[in-house]
Amino acid sequence: MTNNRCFAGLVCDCCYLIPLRLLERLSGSGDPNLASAAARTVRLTASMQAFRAQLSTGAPPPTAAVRTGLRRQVFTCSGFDDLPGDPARSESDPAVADPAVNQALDHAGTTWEFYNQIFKRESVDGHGKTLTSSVHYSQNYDNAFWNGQQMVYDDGDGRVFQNFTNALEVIGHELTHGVTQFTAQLLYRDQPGALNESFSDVFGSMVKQWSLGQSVDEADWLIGAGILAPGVKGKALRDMANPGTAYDDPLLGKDPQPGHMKDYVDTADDNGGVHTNSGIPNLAFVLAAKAIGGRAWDVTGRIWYVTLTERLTAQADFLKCANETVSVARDLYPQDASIANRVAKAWADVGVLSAPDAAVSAIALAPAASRAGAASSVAAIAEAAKPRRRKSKKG
Amino acid sequence: MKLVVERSGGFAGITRRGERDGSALTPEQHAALQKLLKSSSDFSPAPGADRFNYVVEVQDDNGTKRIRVPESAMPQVLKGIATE
Repeated sequence: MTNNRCFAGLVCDCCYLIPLRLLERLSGSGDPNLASAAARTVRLTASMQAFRAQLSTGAPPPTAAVRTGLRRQVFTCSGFDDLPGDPARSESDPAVADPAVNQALDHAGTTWEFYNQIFKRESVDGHGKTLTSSVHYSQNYDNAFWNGQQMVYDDGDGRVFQNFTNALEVIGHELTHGVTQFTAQLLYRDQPGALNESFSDVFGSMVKQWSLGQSVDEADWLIGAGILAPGVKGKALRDMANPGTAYDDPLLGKDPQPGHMKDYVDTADDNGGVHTNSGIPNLAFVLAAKAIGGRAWDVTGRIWYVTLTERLTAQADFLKCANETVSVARDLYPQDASIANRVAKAWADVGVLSAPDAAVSAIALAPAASRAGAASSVAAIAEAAKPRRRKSKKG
Repeated sequence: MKLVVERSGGFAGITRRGERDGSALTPEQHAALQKLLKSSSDFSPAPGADRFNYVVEVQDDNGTKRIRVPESAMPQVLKGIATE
């Protein structure tokens, strides 16, 4: 059902003769033949997307040898658009005069140490991939991104943004896109894309908290706190604990992030609002982390890490992620049902699980003795696992 | 003719939008726009994450034509219109 314009690429609406959203609507149509054909096409399209995503990761085969140890290299683009640019500093080199080069190297190292010490992970691919960064990319480009192979940072235009390498959580965010690419391979649009963004914010913030030794109550939960130029009315680009409150500026507008499913933003911009709707799973993580307490990476972060690297696949939506985090919490902490209960409640508080769903988790997770009389809990759990109806999307 | 350029996405996820009257386009911008409109069926999304996405909209007597362009396919001379 696709044409051949975009065969080697990732996923985009433009590449379907019949838009995916129309197919999804047809699959629910009253005409059984039409519905069946449309549903089959949606399934085929989904499997092709997953296959393409897998092809695009460049992941080493699971049997490949794991290189241990930290390897970094930083290049400078000197204001040009060609990647990676000229070598500026590598692992064994001393600090150089250019602070952006040193920041990119140092923050990549802190992020690598976090993943290695806390989760025993060898770099973003789990096999010791060299962490490559390019700084001074382009001019007045105002962005930091992961291009599928490396991180790329611009200096900011000085009017809205300062140098993107200033903030450790920005570099933790970009490297986590690499971790996601080599694990869950979440598609970069709509809800899977918003989860992709949220995992990057969650682990980006945790890298910063870990480097500062902060508890969940001491953390600022801000993303991009150090990169807004002086004069911009805002504290950061995103506030995970209070989505929608990071900035309100005449030039930038107001932070559009929702913190609840009732405010989910249907849009075709930004790959379906991936940087907007990430506010919902971001808040779920903060609520779970605060309810569980301590340091985020000890318990809540471990639940999210196992969910990302072992449980989710490319098409996962918010509900799938919520159910998997509850399941992982139960598996990791079978002696303490309160942990899974608090994770379930956090997802209920942002409207992804309904309150009864969260209560079901509590029944399922309670010790067997107190479960007597809850004979319907299995059926209730099955009900809770059913996909929830989501708002229809507008093109 | 009026040209509207909208940029969404990026690490910040902030949408910027600008417009330019057709008569104010430089010859380079005009040529890039015509080439872009002709090749608008050939775009592959830029790989990775936190990339910019553009919407290019041309309004004239024939109506409105609106295309989505990943940053990797967006002509350099037209990008700046979104942030002016």
